Amino acid sequence: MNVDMDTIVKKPEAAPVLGASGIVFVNGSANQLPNLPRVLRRVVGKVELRGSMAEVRDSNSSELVAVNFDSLTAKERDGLIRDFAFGPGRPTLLLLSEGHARDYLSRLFANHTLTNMLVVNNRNVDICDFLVTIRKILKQDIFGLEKYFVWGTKTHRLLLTSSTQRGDVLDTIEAYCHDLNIPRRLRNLVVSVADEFVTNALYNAPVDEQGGPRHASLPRTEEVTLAEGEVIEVKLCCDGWRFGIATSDPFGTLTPELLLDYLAKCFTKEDYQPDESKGGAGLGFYHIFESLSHFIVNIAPGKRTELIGLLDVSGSYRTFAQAGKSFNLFTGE
Amino acid sequence: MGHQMSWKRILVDGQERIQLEGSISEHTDFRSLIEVASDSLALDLAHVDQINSCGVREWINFVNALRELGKNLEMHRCSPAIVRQLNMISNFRGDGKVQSVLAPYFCDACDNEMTQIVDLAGIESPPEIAETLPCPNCGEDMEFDDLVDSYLGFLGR
Repeated sequence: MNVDMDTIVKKPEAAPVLGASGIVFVNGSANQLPNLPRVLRRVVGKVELRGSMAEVRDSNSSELVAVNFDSLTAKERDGLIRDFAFGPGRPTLLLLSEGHARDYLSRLFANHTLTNMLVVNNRNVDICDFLVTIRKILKQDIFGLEKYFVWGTKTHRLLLTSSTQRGDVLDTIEAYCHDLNIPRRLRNLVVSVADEFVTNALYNAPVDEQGGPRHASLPRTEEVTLAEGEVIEVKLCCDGWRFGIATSDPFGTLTPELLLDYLAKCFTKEDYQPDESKGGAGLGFYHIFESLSHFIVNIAPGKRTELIGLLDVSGSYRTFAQAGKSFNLFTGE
Repeated sequence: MGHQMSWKRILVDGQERIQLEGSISEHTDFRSLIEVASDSLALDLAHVDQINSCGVREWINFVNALRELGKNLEMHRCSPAIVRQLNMISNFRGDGKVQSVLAPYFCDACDNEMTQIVDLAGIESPPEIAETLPCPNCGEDMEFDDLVDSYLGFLGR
């Protein structure tokens, strides 16, 4: 082997892991997440620390504004929801919260502010999820269940092209969870999420050549079959600590606005009124959100939609229920 | 996925109840249940293990139909899956009265899972749920397998 002595002794350039034009981090005056600024600097380089939302007026120059939501006053939270509109020209917002954001979800979803939220546990953010989220925001490389698992974790793949295969797929997933000795209540959550994912991919996602919905108006009891070459891919993954499931459709018809509006409607806690549509009128996404530790939506408009669900299976149902929730919505190519 | 919902008549303390079993989904047809209900319908929901979003839609249409027909609904031994929906969907019970629920318990030592009935009939304030129970399998403490503060949250609405 030829050895380049310069390479052996040369100090690596102290470049940030990802590199970015800079991000803003609002951590409040109490500095509740003391380690995160240091981590962020190593990851993205330039980090502007802010003590309050009032200091984020000039944040348009940054790609990302990360906010420790729990550190904000009620007035600041209201201001964030009011002012931080989802749209071109605005930096991406990443909320970090131990669970206090829950009471604000309806409003955060309704004005399309909330596209990224990561749960904080014991004053720390899961560094894997944190890095993946920042990378996906900054680098636009959004697809893949594997990103959320360490190298070596085996991924299983199932394919379906017709609603007649749905029962077999769900039975297979349930049997797999059973073999992994996942407690029954958590197993039921995995299967119900899989059910909603697959139903969405078979009935809501497919469009005709004009872009019109192909199956959305059909009762979910009616058999549907995809056209030749169209396949729904289901992926399963478990590292023992958490279970991952993903479905990917080749349509990319789900829009961020529709998803956020559905979630906003459900979180208002108003009475549910079945409408004329044959599906759940958005209730499925609410069920998915509430049944997961982390719900991730990746959309390449007109090309592909990937729904990813991660569920903490390290303990009992109670362990899962006690923890907060993470949510990400990415659009890219 | 759990098998599709079926039902049968059972007799509990002289009261006829309809016991539902399986998953409530888009395949569930409640029409036969509406037909067997006279003035009131007492459902035993202990064996309903899953409800998907289309199932919620069918259920809401069912309780709405009972209300329109002036038929009373009693919900007995609601499974954790039903309690979850009661807490998530504000009008899930319609005009129905929740008479009792099943509280889930999990044993960390031997992975045993079981439920314990919590009677709600005639109560004025939510009863306390035992945080632990001795595991009949290994004798260790089983933990209540949900959130004590919010499991009966639907009662406050």
